[in-house]
Amino acid sequence: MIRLGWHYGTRERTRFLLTAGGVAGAVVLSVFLAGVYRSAVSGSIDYVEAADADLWVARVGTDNLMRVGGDLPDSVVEVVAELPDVLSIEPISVALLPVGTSHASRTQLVVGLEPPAEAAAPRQMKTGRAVPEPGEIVVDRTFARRARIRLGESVTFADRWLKVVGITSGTNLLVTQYAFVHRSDLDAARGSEGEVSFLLVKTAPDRAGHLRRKILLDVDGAVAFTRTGFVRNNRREISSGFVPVLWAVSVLGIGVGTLTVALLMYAAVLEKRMDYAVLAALGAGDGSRLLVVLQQTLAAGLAGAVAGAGALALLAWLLPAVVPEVTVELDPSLLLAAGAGALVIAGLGAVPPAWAALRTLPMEALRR
Amino acid sequence: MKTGPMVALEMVCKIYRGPSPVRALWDVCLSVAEGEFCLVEGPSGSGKSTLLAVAGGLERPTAGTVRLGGREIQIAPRAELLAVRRSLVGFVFQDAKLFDVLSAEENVALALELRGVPRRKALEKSRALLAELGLSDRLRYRPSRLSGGERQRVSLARALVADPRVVLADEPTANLDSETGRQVVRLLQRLAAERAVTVLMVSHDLRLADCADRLITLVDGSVERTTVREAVA
Repeated sequence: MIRLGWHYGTRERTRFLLTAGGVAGAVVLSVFLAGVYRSAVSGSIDYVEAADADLWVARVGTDNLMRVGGDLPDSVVEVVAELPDVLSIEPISVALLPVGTSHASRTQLVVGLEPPAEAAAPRQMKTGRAVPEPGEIVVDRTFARRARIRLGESVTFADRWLKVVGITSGTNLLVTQYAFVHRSDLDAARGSEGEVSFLLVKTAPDRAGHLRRKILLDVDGAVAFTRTGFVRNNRREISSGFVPVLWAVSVLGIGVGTLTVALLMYAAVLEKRMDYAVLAALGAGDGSRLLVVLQQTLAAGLAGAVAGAGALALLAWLLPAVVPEVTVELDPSLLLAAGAGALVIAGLGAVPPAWAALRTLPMEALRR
Repeated sequence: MKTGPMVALEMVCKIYRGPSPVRALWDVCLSVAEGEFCLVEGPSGSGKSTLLAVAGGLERPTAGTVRLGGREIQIAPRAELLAVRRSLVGFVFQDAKLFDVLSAEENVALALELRGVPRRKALEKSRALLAELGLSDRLRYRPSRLSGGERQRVSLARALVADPRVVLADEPTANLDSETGRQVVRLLQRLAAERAVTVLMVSHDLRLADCADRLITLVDGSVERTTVREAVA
């Protein structure tokens, strides 16, 4: 197998670096956003997945934590509590409300807990307590970093000061974060009393499905979701806003990367037109000339993938220090996707230069 | 040993069509025997390069018959034409036309790699031939570090390394001083004679005529005159 293409790639360094840089840029653009998306999805579902509840009961019209359609009627709480196979119920209330300091005020997804909150307490604690008493609050570490608050300091919540007693992780939804207060504080903030947004129900073993059907059929004004279903709904809520943007940016990234590769390699083939003519005259078939072009674009693609992965790792490390809300969750599958994306860019970018190379006539080698 | 024709053109015409058609070759008849060294000369635009391209299967004639190694190639499918070129023909181009990104030995080995010879073996053969041409100390040099004469010697090695039966040389001395040009042609002549290779060489330089067995003068796409060695000398 001839290696002329590799030599073009590695011995014409400026062009090679520019092409690899184009690929790396496209990879970073696409995969970075996917990493941010993953992080936001994790933030939205980690809390739900970790909650010790077999069923989530909500008012009809509500199917995820981020978009609460209204509170459960009082009668529902009593009816559900009396159902057979229910081992325990735990009410929580949820609302989007501002939490602030002198440095920052952010709208938070505030969850009102009732101690001991065995089912609904956040599980991933960075520091402090998970369950707040009246006058206390547990905040996400991203918010804590942005607002420059530490354990024991106070934040404003609906014209009141709450003391920070715990800092969580895995509760960052990118545009907002979870915060946890005592239910009475949330009621006070909302101007209501004893309102319940969700019931976290612990059932007898293997009875969750049965109980869910029973609630759907017999309890007016309520819907119930298994843990899996509720996690899926929360993921969908984040995805519905994020995925179209993600796709658009990915396609744009791949498009720009492909155009960069195609343009630079097309120029390279035109510049080396005589070489391709000589190759053809020496007996190189279409396959060999195609190989020469592919070797160049693949070399740039592989270098771009490695550079892109490095840049992504650097971004994932540096970004939280600068923009705490934006965390990038990278894993091997995303890095593999980056590699595959780079190869796709290299492959697509090879089409125009390959076409130019194949159109070069061997007779041109005899021109002056 | 000079036997049957290795390259034969019968009533070959080549017309480049377009708004103002160009008659590059017109009723050219030419026969070059195995092992013969044939020099084609003529003014610019007389059709010398087109003759070389048609004889080597790089271009198809508009009319007439072209035989290369006894095979009629003007109607051969593209793949067959490529196979004939690979098995029979070596090219030497004006300015050598080496690949800048490859070393001297890699440039020569490439001609073998294109024929499916493994890289290691191709490099071995390339080194041996370059050594025979006095370039054993230039094996790793890229073309930009070689003199014009050295580049053309590498080009000769590239043309001969795959043991072709015909070498088609297009103005191989064009940008060399007369002494270096003469050395290159003498070298080609010697190597061709040792290997019984047929040479069809195009040149402006009539001083090289004494190297050739036959001198063909081309004017306006037609053979005006053929002069055999004794007369040339």
